[in-house]
Amino acid sequence: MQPTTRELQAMAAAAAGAGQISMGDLRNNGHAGPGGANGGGGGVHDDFLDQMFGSLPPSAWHELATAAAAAKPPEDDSGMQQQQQFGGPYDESVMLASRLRQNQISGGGGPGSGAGGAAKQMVLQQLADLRQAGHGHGHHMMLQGGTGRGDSGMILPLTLGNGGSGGDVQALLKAAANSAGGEAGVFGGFAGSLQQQQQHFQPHPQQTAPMPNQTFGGGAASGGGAQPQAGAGGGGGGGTQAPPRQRVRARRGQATDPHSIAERLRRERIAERMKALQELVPNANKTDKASMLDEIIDYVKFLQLQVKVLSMSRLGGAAAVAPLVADMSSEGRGGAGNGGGPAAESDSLTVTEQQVAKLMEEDMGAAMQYLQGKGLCLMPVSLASAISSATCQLRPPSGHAFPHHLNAMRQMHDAAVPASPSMSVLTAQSAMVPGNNGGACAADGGAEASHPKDAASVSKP
Amino acid sequence: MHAPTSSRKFKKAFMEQLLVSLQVAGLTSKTMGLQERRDAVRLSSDVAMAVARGRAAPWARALVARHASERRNEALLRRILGGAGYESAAAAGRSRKIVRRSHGACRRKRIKSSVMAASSGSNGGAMVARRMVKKRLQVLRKLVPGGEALHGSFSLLSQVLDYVACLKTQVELMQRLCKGSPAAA
Repeated sequence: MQPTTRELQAMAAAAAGAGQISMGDLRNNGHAGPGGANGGGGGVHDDFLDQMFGSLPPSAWHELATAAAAAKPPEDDSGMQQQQQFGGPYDESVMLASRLRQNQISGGGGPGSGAGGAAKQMVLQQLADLRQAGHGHGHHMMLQGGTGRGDSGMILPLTLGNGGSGGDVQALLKAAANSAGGEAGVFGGFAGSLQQQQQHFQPHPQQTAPMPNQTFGGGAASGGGAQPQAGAGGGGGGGTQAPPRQRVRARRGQATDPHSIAERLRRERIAERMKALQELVPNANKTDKASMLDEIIDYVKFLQLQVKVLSMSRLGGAAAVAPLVADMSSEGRGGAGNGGGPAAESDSLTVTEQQVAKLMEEDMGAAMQYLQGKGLCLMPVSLASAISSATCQLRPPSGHAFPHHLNAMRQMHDAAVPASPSMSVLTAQSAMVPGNNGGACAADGGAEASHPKDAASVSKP
Repeated sequence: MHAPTSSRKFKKAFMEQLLVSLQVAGLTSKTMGLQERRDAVRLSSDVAMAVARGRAAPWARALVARHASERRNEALLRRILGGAGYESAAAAGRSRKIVRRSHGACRRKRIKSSVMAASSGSNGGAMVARRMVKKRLQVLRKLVPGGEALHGSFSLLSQVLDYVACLKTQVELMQRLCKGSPAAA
């Protein structure tokens, strides 16, 4: 926020004194910022803006700022004449500020200038219509534009400062005030710009100087208070030319304004959602919306299929699981499940081992089938120790469970039996590692290899 | 990011509910056929997920309602959800069916007309792209529970986001259970 305050102070100083110098300062500050970025993208739009803002006489800022500076009557006349015209670029710049910010928010800030260029055009045209559309509507839009993040609001003044002229300074002022003082600042300034058309210029300038200061001070209340009044009109009405032909040009980009603004908002929200989904769904580096949706669809189908397969497996181990329920609900953490799990498992494991040993004496095939029915497989002891050591490194808390399992397995067989080819121990491991709820499972999974039906390939975190 | 769906609290609640549901489902009986068992497990898992997510998510309500509308699930659902819960779920399911039918008809009519209008246009490329996107959104609507009743692509995408996160958790928890409990075949 530091640069903001600096700029604000600069602007406040300008409001009191020589407008030209402050403009220069601001322009310099603006250039110090993302000047390159702005210059890079949206070149055409920048030219357009420059043209528009360049048309503002440099004295406009001065006239705006100073309260009782010039003689009232001539100012009044020129103000009235130029009110209409000045309103154009000024409004547009303010709107532009908000739209640019919004675009930057949605565009992730990176291609901000490029998006900003398009936004500028839109915004300009919107603003042009806005003036005729009326206050309430405009205020609503400004509210939408204004609410939000002060960070991106900061970028606006800098980028706009590149255009460099009185109107820009106004926009900078409003936008910076906005970021400093919340939406009220924009309201204050915007209200001024809107009101100027209908109100006399005379009473406004007196409030011009105090008004910006109030908004700078973050006076949300004062800014809000200024909004319904005509007071802030002076903030806008510097009386500069904005020839009607530029309004027409701006309009070429959009069809009807309120709809396009709403639609743009909606599109931004959708883009936000798509980005969030991109993080969730693997393989989602597609830029195209349709292919991204394809990926999402496939992933949802895949997950649903996984659930189906998993439910087919021997999840019906509710009997073994029952002791876990009591433990978990009473102690309330997965860690407790750790303590409860291995205890229960060790009993059932011993039973299993005895069963398997008995079966093995009779018929190897039956023993293997029995094991597979449980989702276990036989593996060479060397491999088992290798795996368990690997798992031990990953899950030290549950390491104590391993030796027991290993011993059990060694007792079970001393012959090296090749494990089932579908074994993917890493899968089991990775499934266990995330979260500490699976402590019991890790011990089991590490020692006993994987479920043959395991269709999942969970990536390690 | 949707914090509630991947938080530890959610997982814990989910797991607890899952275990309870599994127990209630009485899967220990050896007389159950494979299909029956699978359906019971699937049901209890889905219900656990929905309950853990809470009433706030439309897809959770729709999921439970979808299960409740099948007659054969009634007993099990009654045991898991309790009488009152089951009644509300069944009511939601019934109203949802009616809504879904009307929505489906509306959408089909609207899509047909929009397609016919859109195909003739100077900006054919964008129209084609938009149509593709719309088609995919339709598919998503069918996949996500309660998607048919959702207006607007934005809310649909939010629900999809939530649902995907919960599905991932569901798969993860079920896998852990699988690995963690050596059970009778």
